[in-house]
Amino acid sequence: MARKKVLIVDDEADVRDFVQAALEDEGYDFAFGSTGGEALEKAAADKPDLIIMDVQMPKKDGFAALYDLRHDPALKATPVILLTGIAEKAGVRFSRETGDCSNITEFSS
Amino acid sequence: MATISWSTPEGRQERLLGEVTRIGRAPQNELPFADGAMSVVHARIVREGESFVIEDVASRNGTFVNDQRVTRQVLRDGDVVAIGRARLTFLATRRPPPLPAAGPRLEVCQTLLWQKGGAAASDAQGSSVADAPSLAQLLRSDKAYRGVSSVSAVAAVASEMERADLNLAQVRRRLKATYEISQATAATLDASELLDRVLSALFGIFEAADRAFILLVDPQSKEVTTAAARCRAAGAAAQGSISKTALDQAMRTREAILCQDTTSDDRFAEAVSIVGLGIRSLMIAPLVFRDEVLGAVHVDTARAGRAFTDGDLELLCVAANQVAICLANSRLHDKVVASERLAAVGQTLAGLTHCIKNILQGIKGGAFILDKGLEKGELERVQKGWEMVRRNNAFMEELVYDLLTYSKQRAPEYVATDLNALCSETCGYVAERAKANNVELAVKPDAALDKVEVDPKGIRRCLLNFVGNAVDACAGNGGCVTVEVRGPGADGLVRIQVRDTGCGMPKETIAKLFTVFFSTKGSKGTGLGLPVSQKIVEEHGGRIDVESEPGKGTTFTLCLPNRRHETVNL
Repeated sequence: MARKKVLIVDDEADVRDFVQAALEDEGYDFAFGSTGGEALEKAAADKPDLIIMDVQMPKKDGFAALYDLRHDPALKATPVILLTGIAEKAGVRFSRETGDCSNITEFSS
Repeated sequence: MATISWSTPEGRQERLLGEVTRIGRAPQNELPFADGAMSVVHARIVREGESFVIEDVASRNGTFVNDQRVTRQVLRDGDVVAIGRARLTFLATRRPPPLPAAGPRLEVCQTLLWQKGGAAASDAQGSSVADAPSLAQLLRSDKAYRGVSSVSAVAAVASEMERADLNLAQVRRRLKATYEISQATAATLDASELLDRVLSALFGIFEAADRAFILLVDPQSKEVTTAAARCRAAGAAAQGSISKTALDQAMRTREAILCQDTTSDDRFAEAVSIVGLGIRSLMIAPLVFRDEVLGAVHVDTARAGRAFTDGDLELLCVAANQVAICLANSRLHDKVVASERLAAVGQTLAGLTHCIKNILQGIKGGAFILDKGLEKGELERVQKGWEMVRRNNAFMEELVYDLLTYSKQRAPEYVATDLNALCSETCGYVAERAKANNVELAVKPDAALDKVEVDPKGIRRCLLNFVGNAVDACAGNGGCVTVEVRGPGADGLVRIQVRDTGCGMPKETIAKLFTVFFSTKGSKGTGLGLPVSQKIVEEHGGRIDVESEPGKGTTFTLCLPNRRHETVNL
């Protein structure tokens, strides 16, 4: 069975490293991006099985990237986990409304 | 021109007769008396040409002229009319009664007094004072009246004027003191300052007063304590006891008390202390707001005889009402301040918790990566993890330093400083970060600038914040950050300008820039940088100007006085 690929998108290298370290023993391959724009590029190029993405990033943020992902027929089915330090109810509502996400679950650390 | 006159405990009263003068218990009468023996409208005196005729208006107890019961009779000079307990003397030709300067105003106040006192006059049946309803009575029974204290204060002075025992100078002094009380109650929310000012005004009103106290009921323990005390004698403290019996009574019944002579007053038979202290006359007015008794005002004197009059008691009641409103207001204000403070503490804690949580998360993440590196024997990863731990430790240190700077009032530690060098040095710290983000960083010094006395540590902190923010604003897009130093202008201010060509800010963000824990950087900002910078600059006597346009960039200008700023160290 082919190894699954995870795309990690965060503008902070620390967080990218941490997420990778936390998941590497599960036997995944990784791709990285540091902006919302890169998230779309890498998603199109690498076809990841899962995208783990920060919400607060300069330029295109996580919400905007999610919106574009959900409106791209080739990528709309890719599961996305959004990371945010702030419990942004408004953000969740935003992504529900614009991201065509019928399946959003909130976790908190 | 005819008048009618009658005696009161305060002296003779005299009233000019008009076309129709109605006499009775109701306040609508031209001559109202708080006399239970009178009918509501008891009799009237009607002018018929040159004569005046008294007519009984179907009264219960009858109208008498020179002891003869009459239903209608022409009055002659010197006739004594008996109505209820009042004895009115008719004087056919007299000059109008002399009035102090404020004649016309007196009429207005008088009218107001009778109208407002509507309910009171009928309550006052059986009163032994054969007189118009006193203001003290009105205040006791007409709750609606309590709100119009300033007007009523003037009315009280005016009614006192009508009693005609006061000379003009006294009236003026009383009006002035009354004005002072209303000023004091309007000007201050600080209870103890208010009470002191009121007490000093009370001495201005009551020339006979030796001591004055304001006693307050503690809202929690319900104990009555002296909140303010004053003695007329210079230097002497207002000591000694006051009558607990009288005080309790005034507060329980919510009625003001006037005692003309404590030695012959049954109410003070047990209050040995009062007599022992040589107190002969006293007045107590309760401080009532809505349904709550807040305390009482107590004024006394060792002077024998009629040291205080009913009129004095009226004035004291007016003052007490104003004080009560003001006290209630002050307590409300304290409550609001306390709850606002709690809300602010809550907000601060939430912001702080968020910051600390982010830093801890960073340390935890670093430690996790370090562990992984050790586990797998990868030195590079150990280094990376350790670097994360160290960096977050430095963040924590910075946070604590910022919190201390923000919370502590302090004066800058002035050192003659080369601001050009300070700017270059600060940019050096940020250079690596700027390069990593593809941001150009330039310093434009002012070669002509001498050293300026500033706190270099504090100003470095500000500049680090500004330049760091400017680089963040450009990050991702590239762009340039320029730090420009400009020598003192005509206003004597030295300027350090930090310009960036970054993302800029909308007006709403600018408005919140200096709010503690407000950050647009999410987990990457503490929301303390700018408030701390502002505080440091203000401690120097300077200011921070901000200009920004979304999409075009932002300019922060740090304006510092050329000379050392004398701060008041709190």
